[in-house]
Order: sequence, then structure tokens, then C-alpha cells
Amino acid sequence: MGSALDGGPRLPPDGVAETLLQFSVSGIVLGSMVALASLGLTLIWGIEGFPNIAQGDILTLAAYLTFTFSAGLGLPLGLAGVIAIGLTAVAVLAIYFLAFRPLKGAPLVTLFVASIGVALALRGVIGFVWGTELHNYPLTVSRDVSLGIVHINPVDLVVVLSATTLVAILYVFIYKTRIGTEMRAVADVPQLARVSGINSERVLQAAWLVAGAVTATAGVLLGAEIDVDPQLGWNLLLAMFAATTLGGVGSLPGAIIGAVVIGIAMDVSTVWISPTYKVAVAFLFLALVLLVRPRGLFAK
Amino acid sequence: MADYLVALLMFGAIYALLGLGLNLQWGHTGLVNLGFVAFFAVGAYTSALLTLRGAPLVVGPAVGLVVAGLVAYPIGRLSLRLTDDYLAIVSFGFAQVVQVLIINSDWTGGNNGLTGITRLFRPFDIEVRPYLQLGLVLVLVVIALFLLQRLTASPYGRLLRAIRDSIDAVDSLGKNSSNYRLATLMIGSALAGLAGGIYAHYIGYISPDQFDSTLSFFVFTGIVIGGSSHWGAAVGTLIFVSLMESTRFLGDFNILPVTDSQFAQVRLLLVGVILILLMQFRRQGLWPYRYRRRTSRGPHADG
Amino acid sequence: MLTVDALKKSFGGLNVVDGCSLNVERGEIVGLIGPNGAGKTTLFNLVVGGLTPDGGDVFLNRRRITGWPSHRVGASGLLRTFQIPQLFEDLSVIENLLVARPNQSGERFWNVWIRFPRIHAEEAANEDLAWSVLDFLSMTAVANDLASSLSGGQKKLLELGRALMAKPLLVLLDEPVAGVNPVLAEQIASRVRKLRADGYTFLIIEHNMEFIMGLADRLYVMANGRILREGSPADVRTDRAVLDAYLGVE
Repeated sequence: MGSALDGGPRLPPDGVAETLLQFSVSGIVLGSMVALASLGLTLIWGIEGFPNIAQGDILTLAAYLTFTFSAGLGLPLGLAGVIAIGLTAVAVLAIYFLAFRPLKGAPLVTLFVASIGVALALRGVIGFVWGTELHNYPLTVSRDVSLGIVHINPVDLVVVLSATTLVAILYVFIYKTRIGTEMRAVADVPQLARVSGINSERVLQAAWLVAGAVTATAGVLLGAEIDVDPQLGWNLLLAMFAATTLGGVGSLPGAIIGAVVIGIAMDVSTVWISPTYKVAVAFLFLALVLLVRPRGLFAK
Repeated sequence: MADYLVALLMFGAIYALLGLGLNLQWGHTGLVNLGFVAFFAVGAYTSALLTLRGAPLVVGPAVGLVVAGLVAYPIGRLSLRLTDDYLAIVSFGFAQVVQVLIINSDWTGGNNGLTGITRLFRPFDIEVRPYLQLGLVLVLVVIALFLLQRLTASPYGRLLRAIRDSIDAVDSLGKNSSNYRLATLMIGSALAGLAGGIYAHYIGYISPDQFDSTLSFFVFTGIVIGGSSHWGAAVGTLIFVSLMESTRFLGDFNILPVTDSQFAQVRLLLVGVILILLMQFRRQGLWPYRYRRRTSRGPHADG
Repeated sequence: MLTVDALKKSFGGLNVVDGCSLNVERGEIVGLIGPNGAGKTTLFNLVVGGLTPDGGDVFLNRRRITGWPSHRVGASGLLRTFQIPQLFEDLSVIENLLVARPNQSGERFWNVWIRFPRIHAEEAANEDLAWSVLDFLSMTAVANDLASSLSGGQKKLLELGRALMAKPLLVLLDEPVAGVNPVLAEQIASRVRKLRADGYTFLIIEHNMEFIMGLADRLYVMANGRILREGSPADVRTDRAVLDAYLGVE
């Protein structure tokens, strides 16, 4: 499987330009998944004020649910994915009620530590229910399609298109609906939002639900590209944080751009260094951003 | 049975050292160091590599301590000018990078690790050795407790706790909080490095999977449970981490109808739930640090 | 003592602070007022180091402190309080005051291990001072209580006390009586007056008109990022442009 996270595309292209382009394509695939996950991260970070470490395990949960509904219950993959997204989003809302809402007003570090607890608990549940062996979606292996000088796998194409579609939906939601506007208000100027009568509790619930759904989508797509195991989402955390930091915390376009940049950087780097060091590339980007422009590209 | 207990205590004492180091960072200064285990690993590998190349045993852990402390410097400089969120993320990423580097380098033994590391108290009789080792670590724990207590009872310690409560307020008073936070990061990490060095020579072999990131979280939960007093952190970590690690063996007794691997997952779930509940109900842990009451002015008791 | 010279700051094309200048002389109580959104808080943060200005300068006793980080500003004698009190919640009330004292030998790492007598002596002296501040604030009874147990008004007082312990040249108060009942507000006002009589200097941002009008020697009125008017409370109170600015925003 021409997986974006493991080793890049299978076909060795010729020529430097083609190689770089090919890896850029796989980087975009990776980047689109990271982008969705980072959107979920930055959404909550912007509204609640803390980074939710459990993001990774939410990804994993969605992937496992997709696997169960498709391979286990025989549903078509698309339907399984949609169900998984719905269930995961609800689970995230439940987590909000159980773990985070009781901590309203607590220092942000406390919320952050609570999110660590959620991450571990979620991972434990996933590992207990599904075991630790690798699983895969029931995807038939298909041949790469040629797009000019680069090759792309149909699955990769679906991933990128799905991600783009979801981003478009999210854009409409955040900028064109009333609840989306209220969300932006709460994120930007909480005091003013409160004063103008916005029901911040309702907005928070909506935010968690949306963040859960977006992150879940990333998880569903991720499971199509990579073997599903309990560490699936956790391994992506560093890339997500690097992307969010690069883009600027709380900035939605920033998260997307940051994620695509990081994705491309991580994959293109495998031209020169071993794929196992991809995580180091993400870390390097994080370090660089913090050194040069800590607020990120599009910070509020 | 006695051997088992001594071994358990030995591990517990090493974990207690880790707990003391992380508690200085988190309980006293409010630093969230998610990559704590990386410094444990740095200390272990430094000590092992040095002694395998002929350095005397005493030098190993001492250098491990120094190297771990120094490695914390760039991490701190990078992230401490910003909010705590970033230290957590950077330290987290750092730990992942360290693990990747260890696994992929030949000179660290790669995935197989290093074996044949000089054991502690080698010239002594094999019967006596476990007790000597335990004695050594317990002495180190006591020394660390004493030194940390001295540090945190002083105005320096008070300033650290102020930083924990409000970085902005400390800065507004004209004191550079970043410097103190960096210092604490280095000291706590150095302590982890020392623990790593001792650990390597106790077990005799080290490999990357002994320094799993879950250990960071176990130690963290231990100090959160134990509270911010040094005793509390040491005891909390000792009991909690030992419990977590030793339940690996419970599977042998078939107490519960689950496999070893499932039990490991239940441990994770337990740790997670404990952390969430602690944050909601007892954020300060079982034995939080108690400040000293000041008597009213007049002839002074202790200043 | 404090001179702000044509300070500028924009966010995304909006000139939040658009060339503001003001002046505070020793022993004065100067107020900064203006409608919501005028840019007062931004101006405040530009002075105390939370934000870097895009243009202009800040001088403290003729020393250029423009763009200095907040800890350097604090160390130079410019102390500030916070609108939402930033106390050390898990420290006792008196410890909150003790932390504020600058140049403590006991806060130097190496001294902790060797300079016991000096540290003890300093601590004793600082404690004496802290007790007299607590006396001044009428808070001696709660000295050993956790700061988190204080009422909102007491927290504001403690913030003031903490600033005093830090040997200030100038104290910037950020909405000292926001959300405070009138009785306590008057207590704060009377204490500020007493301190001024002892030679302290204050710059106060405040919305509470009654409070600031009765306290300040001079006022700056800020609107839309600029200083609209400067003058005594009596002058400003009846100024046409000032009234327009306030009414216009509503």
C-alpha cells in the first residue's frame, strides 16, 4: 500500500524533479489527514484555551470503529466511515461532559492534564476492546493511477478529496451559519461574547461536537492509509502540534496550511533520510517555528 | 519472597528518584515535562556507554546526571519563553526523537540495546549485593529529599511556587521567570539522569522499550496522586509506579479472566481515569506541600 | 517620571493605538479613561511589556524602556496590578507579599546552600515590612490564609500591597475597582491617596467615573486609539468632545 506515513509511494520514479513531485503528492495526502486532525485540535485550543492531547486517540477510535463496521459487520466502507464519524463525535461530546466541563474555570494546565488522562483512558479502552494486533480495512489493493508525471493511488485520491470536501463543509459551517459565527466570537473575544447574550455552553458543546467529527474523519481516512493499531493517532500527535503551531493556534486556515507544509516536508525528507526519522522532521519544524515565529503564521 | 520484595523496593526507590525530579518541575514550578522519560534514558545510556568503554563505575551515573541536565537546556530555551503548553509539546516531541535516534543508531545497540553493563557492587558476595544496592539507592533518595527540601523551603523555592501559580505576576514584579523555570527543568532532568544511570547498572542491560513514553505518564500520575510535598511525591511514585509495573506479574496468577496484554490496557485505562478524577476532586494530591506559617512581628522565632 | 511618546500599535490593519503620548510626574495620580475599545488596555500593555509597539517610545525617568520584556520593566521600578488579580493562589497572603521583594539573596540558587545568616536576616526584615503592609491594608488577620480564600476585594488590595513591596517608582493600576462594591472602592481610593502623600506615583486605568474623578489629579481621555483630551477632572467632565466620545460609542 502506497502509504503516506510508512515509506512513501512504492514506484520509484526517475529524475530529481519527478521524485520530489511524487513525494510532494504523497506529502499532500499525509498533509490532508493531518490538516483535518489539526483543525480539530486548533478549534478546541482556540475556544477552550488548551491543547487536547486526546486528539490522537480520537483519531484511533474512529479508525477502529470504521474497521469494525466494515470488516466486522460487512457494511460498505463509506457507510462504515460515516457511522464511525458520527459515533466518535458523540463520544467526544460525552468526554467533554465527563472530563472537561466539570473543570470549567480551572487553570488551563489542569485541563491539559485531564486531557492526558482522557488520552490514556481512551487508549486503554481501545486496546482492551480490540486488542493490539494490526488490522486493516477491507480495501482491495488497486493500481496507481497516472496524473501526468506523478502516480497516485485511488485511495489517496479519495483521501484528499474527502478532506477537501470536509474543509469546504467546515468553512460554510464556521463562516455562514449562526452557530459557527458564535463559535468564532467565543474564541476571539470571550467576554464580549458573554455580554452579547451568546449561550456559551451551547457553543462549547457545538465546538466539541464539530471538532470531534472533523478529527474522526481524519481518523477514518488515516485507517485507509495505514495499518490500524492502538498507537495510530498518537503517532500523529507531533505532526499535528507542529502544524497547529506553524499555522498559529486558533487559526483554521493556518492549521490547514501548516499541515500541508509539514506533510510535504515529512515525505520529501525521505528522499534524503530514512523514513523512520520522519517524526524528527516534524519536531525540527516545531523547533524552527518556536525559534523564529512562535505565534505562527496566522496567529490572532 | 525476600528477593522479590527487595527487587520491588529497588525499582520503587529508583522511581521515587524520578518522582522527586518531576515533582520539582511540576509540583513546585508548574512545568509540564511530558518527555521526562527521555532524560531517564539519556542518563542510562550515557552511563552504560561510558562504563562499557572502560570508565569506572562511579563516573557513569555522575556523568549521566550532568549530561541529562545539559540536554534539558536547549529544550528549555526553546520552549520556556512561551506558555507551558509548548514545553509539554516540545518535550513530548523531544522524547519521540530521542527514542527514534536510539533505535536507529548502532552505537546505542539499536533495538536490541546494550548488555553486559557493569553491575553495582560487583566485587561483593552475591547474597549481600541486593541489600547494598538497595541501601545505595535509598541513601540517594534521602539525600535528594534533604537537598530538595532545603531548596524549596528557601525564598528560591517560594519563588518557584509563585511561578507555578502565575508566571505573569512574577514577571511583573521584575523577576525573570524563564531563568528559574529553565533551572528547574535542568535540575529535575539531571535527577532523572542519575536515576537512569543507577537503573542501567542495576539491571545490567538496557533497551529502548524500557524507556517507553508511558513511564513518563506513570511517574506523572504518581506525583499527582502523592502531592507536591517531596515525601508525597516520592511515596506516591514509589507505590503507584511499582503497582503498575508489578501488576505485569499478576497475570501469572490468573486472578482475572484477562490476558497479560489486556491487563496492560486496563492499567492504561486506570491511570487515565485516576488522572481525570484527581484533576476534578483533588488537584493538589494526597500530601501537598505545606507552607510555613509566619508569626506576627516582635522577637523573631525562626526567620 | 513616565513619558509615553507617540506610541503606535496596529492589529491587522486596525490602528488600535494611534500615536498616543502622555506624561506622569512624580507624586501625581494620573487617570486614563475612555470608552470601551478605545485602546486603553493595549496602551497599557505596550508600556508594561506585554506587547511590542510598532512605533513610538516609552521613557521611565528618561531611560528608554520601549519594548522591554515585562520582567525588565518590573525590575526598573514600574509595577503593575492586574485587572483580574493574578495572585499566587496556593501561597499564603503574607507569602504573596514576601515574593514581591526584589533582590533577595535567598532567591539566588547558590546562596540557598551557604548564605544562611544573610538569608535569615533578609527574611526577617522583609517579614517586618510585609506585616506593616498588611497593617496598612487592614489584612493582618488573614496573613497566613491561602490567597485563594480571599474575597475579590481583598485580592485587589493584596495586589496593591504586592506592588508596594516591590519598591516601585510608579504603580500602574489596571481597573483597580472593577466589580468592587462602593465601600471597598472608597477604601482603595483612600489608601491610594495616603500612599501618594508618602511619595508614591500612580497611573490608573479605570471605568468607574466616580472613583477616578474623585482621585486623579489629572486625566487623559482616550478614544479610537488617540488621546482626545488631557486635563483636570473638572475640565474633562464638561468637555464636549469627551462627552461625544462616550455617547458616540453607546
